[in-house]
Amino acid sequence: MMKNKLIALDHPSPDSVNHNDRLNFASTVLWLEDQKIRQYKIEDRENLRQVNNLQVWEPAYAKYKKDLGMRSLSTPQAELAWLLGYAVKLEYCDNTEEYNHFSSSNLEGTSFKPKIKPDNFFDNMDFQSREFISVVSKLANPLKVPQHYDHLKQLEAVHRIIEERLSPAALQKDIVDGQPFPFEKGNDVVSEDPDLDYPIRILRLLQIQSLRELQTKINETIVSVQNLTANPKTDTKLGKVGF
Amino acid sequence: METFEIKTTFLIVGGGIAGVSCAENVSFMCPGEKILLITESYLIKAVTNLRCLGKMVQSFEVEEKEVKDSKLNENVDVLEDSVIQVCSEEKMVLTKSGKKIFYSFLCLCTGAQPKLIQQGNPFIFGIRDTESVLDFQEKVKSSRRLVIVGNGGIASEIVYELGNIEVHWVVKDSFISSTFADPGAAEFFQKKLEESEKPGKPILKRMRYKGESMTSGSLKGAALGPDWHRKIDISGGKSKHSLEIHYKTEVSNIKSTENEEYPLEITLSNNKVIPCDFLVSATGVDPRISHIPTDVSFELGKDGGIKVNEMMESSVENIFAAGDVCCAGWDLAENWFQMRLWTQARQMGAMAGRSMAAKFKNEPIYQDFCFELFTHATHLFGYQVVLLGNFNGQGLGQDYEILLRYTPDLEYIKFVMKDGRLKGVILIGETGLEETCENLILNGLDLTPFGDDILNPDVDIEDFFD
Amino acid sequence: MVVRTYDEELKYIERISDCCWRIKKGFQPNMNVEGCFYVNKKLEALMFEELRNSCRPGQTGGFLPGVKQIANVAALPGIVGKSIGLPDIHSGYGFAIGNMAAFDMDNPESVVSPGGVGFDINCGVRLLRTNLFEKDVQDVKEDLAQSLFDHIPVGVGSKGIIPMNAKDLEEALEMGMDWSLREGYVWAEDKEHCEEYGRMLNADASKVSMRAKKRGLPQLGTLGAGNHYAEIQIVDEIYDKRSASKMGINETGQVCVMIHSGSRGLGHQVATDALVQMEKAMKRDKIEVNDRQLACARINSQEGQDYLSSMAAAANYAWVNRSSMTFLTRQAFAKLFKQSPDDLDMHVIYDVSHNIAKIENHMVDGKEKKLLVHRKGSTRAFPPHHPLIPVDYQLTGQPVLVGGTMGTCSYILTGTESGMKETFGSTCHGAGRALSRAKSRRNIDYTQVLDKMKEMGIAIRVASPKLVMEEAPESYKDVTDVVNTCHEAGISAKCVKLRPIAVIKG
Repeated sequence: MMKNKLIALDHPSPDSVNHNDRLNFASTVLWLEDQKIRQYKIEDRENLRQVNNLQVWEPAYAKYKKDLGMRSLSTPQAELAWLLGYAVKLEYCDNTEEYNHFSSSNLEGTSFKPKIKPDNFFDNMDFQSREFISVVSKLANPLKVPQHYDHLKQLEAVHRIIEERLSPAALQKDIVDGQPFPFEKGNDVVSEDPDLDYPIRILRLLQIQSLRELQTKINETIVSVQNLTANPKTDTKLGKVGF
Repeated sequence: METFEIKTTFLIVGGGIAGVSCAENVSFMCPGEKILLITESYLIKAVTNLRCLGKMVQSFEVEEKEVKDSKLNENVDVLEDSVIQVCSEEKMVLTKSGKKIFYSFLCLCTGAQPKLIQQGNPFIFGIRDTESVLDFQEKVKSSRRLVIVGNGGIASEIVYELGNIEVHWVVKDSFISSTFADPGAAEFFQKKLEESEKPGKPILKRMRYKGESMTSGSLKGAALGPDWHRKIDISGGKSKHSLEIHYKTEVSNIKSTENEEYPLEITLSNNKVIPCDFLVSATGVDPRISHIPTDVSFELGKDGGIKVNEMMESSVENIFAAGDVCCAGWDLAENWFQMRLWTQARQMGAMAGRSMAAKFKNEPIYQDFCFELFTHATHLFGYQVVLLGNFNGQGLGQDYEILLRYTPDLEYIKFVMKDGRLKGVILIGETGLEETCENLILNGLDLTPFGDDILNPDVDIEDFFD
Repeated sequence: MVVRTYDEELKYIERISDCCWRIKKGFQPNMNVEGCFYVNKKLEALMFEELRNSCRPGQTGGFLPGVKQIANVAALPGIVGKSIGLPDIHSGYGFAIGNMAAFDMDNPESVVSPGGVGFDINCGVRLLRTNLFEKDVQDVKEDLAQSLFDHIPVGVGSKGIIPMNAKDLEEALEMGMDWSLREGYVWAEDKEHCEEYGRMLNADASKVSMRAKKRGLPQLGTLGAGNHYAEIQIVDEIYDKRSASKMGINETGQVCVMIHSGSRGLGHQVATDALVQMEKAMKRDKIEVNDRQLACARINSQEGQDYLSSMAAAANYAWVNRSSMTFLTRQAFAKLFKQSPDDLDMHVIYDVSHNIAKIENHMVDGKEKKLLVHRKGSTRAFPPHHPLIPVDYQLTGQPVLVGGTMGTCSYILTGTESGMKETFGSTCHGAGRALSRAKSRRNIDYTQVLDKMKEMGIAIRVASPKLVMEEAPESYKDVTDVVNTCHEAGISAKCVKLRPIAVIKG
């Protein structure tokens, strides 16, 4: 979030801001004051400018916080977050009309991706390279994932199989024994066309599966809320009620 | 005698059903608070075997439990003592054993005492509490002839249960069991009384108890529960069983005799003279308040009970009353009236308990819905009897209709109807109509279109109004 | 109204198939659509016998035979499709119990009728499974019944095991099962396996009268009398192994618990309040109906909307009630078997409502329409893949819980496609008319009793059976016949049969 704000404020190197490094921190504060907040007149910023001399800078910063009306915060991270929020607010107030245009309804359809360059290994990978495509194909074969013109879809299928069948969590699940019930013989009428019947059933099963996942997440959420709200008098383990 | 002080948030006086029910409710609502129950007897009542017949009609049995193993909650202390003075100014009571008990809220559930025809005669019994029943049981064993006066539930029960003794039942009405029944129902019961064979009774497991305070004829203990007679064998051994009912008569004179065959001679209003071993007086109860002196006197109701509002509060601040001792002083609902019964003692006790707890926690509560409809369930002559609303046309004057369904030995159903609406019901036997009738009375639906068919045995109205 | 002989009446009733009959227009005045009813041979005899009896001279209009009631409903404004009688139909207030009817939401004339929902709003059945078997409970079934009896509270006031004050009640009326969830009485999974997820979103507690609330307050978590019961049941027969296993029922002998209860006094008061309001609205809007008991109001009128909001609140109350009993049942089992309810696998299989009105989309004459579906003594039975049924039952169809009359067998059915088309996804509800009491009533001599009563100076009437005894039909509709009819007609499919081993009655 902090980085998003830095980007929004056009900070030159949002990735390098480090609130734990006092010098870096002091420089960021100064940058904010110089470029965005402008609480003091330029000549009054002298002491804040002494980022290399923390003995001067610290008292100046303390006074600065007071002058801005920042409440007492416990960590430099929280202070920086506050300052960034304050700066964003000032930016917004300067130019409300322009920014109001960016309401969520207006943004629909436009892809709005912050240009971040995370140092993730995959980010620099060329997914369209011949090499990549052939590896996906190799991976698919032993897992019996059918070939697909879009190798990325194929990769998704591979991922699903690995997660559901081969992940440590999946391997620990008890193996269901017994005969699988032929799902093409349900109580449900699906399609008059026998060629469509089978694939529709498969799609429905997939839909049910994702619904089940959603419902489970809902239940987990309810349980976590229950942990906060449940009447403490209720103890289902005791099996004892009333008098 | 040692004097010491006790402080408690809630103080409840009386170990009868109202008191116990009150304590249970307070304890349930305020589990962290100190609750003290003062009872005059070793035993307190606990409701067991609660059965719901309708939404509101309930029948239950009452069990007596020794104070120490009663199922009351942990925060209820039970003290065997009696209150001799209430000081409402200081919010304190004094007890016989010299304790000073300070309370925040006090609830009096001291019950009622039987109205005896004649006080102080050893041959005249009032049956009210458990001790008196045991005494009565003993007495019957060695007697040949007795007279029973009264036409309420207890009298009816005794008459039905007695065996091997000559019984004379003196009733002021032209039919029996007038408190709960009407002449038609009495006719229905009559058959049962004529039967000589009665089913065997279950063995009664009574706990043994000893102690000097168990004086015979004591009026202090808590009242009997419903169905008390069902487990106690009251048979004489000296005579062939016979029953004579003296309708529309009252006792005009009682004479103790000496050196006669029978110690007592009863003269009835029709000048008939019955010599007998003893007389049972079961003619109702009076609220028992006279023996508790208070610094500020309570406002009393018409019948001499402590007047309470719909939250069971008396006229004295922070003092509540429930059960037989109180008199309902609020604007009564159309289909409810007060009758000194187990059912109501329990309901009032619960209401008082919840009301005190709510006042303590400063929470608003409603008056319990049970005061919207009179309900009572009991057993008479071996039948289940359920009474709902103005079951005998109470308060309706002569301006109502009766619809009956009657099958000898099986069921007796009476609907009291006014302007096409059901106002009250008597259900005798296993009718299964309790909840339906409750709903019909409470809903106040116009039943005119159904005419007499509402009780047509081929129509299941309990399903119709589902 | 025209008085016709039985033979004349029969001209309006026509067999469509082995177990379905049509009631033609004209059978009752002003019918907007036809009626139909489902019966097998045995139930058919009962149905016609009832009609024949009503054709005898001297019958009063209070209790109409089921076929007449179906036809009167068919005359209500805005009804679409057919007025449908399910096999367990029997006489009820306004609508017969076992009658379903759908009204077009887009037709401004369409009505909602409290008589089409019933007094015990959202009366319904919930089934819990366990991983116990008959042999595990055989020796302890008495204790188990006693324990359930001890746990499921009966009684007035706060004696109820689950404390509830006025504020809780308001919340419960709005939140339904979400209240039970929030307070921790039930499991998250329970909600998933409940019709409407246990909460009607249009509930408005402010539309519920104070008297109704007061009537409901002491009764939460209580069972109720009459048809209501909790039963410990054993899986007796499995007809559809695959569907049953989806419900966690794998073998015969498995132990289940069925809870049959509703909104009790609160529902009664909500219905009564609405009936009073609607009688006025009918005069104002000049709505004519064949039977005064069919009081109704236009769906879009204030009265109609108020009723739908208060009915939804009463429905929510009924779910909280069944949820409270679910909690108590789990406690009772846990206590007796010294295992947590979780270890006993005590999941809710499903929870159905059989006295309710809901807004649903259905196909009418090839077009999708928004309908207000009244189901009174009728259970929703949606087919596989319907979006409103739980994900776990997407392949099987919605489970339908059919409780027998207390003490007889119960069934689990599943919803079907043809039911969706024919009956707007509705089927029977079971718990048909209770076995009528001693039919062999002797000639009763009332004179003695009446003589005694005369002294009171009150008008006295006496109710007696109107039928000549030899002809009195056995009015009891066996749940097996009812379920078989639904299965044969295809409006739902048999899945599991359950038999009771212990009954707890309020």
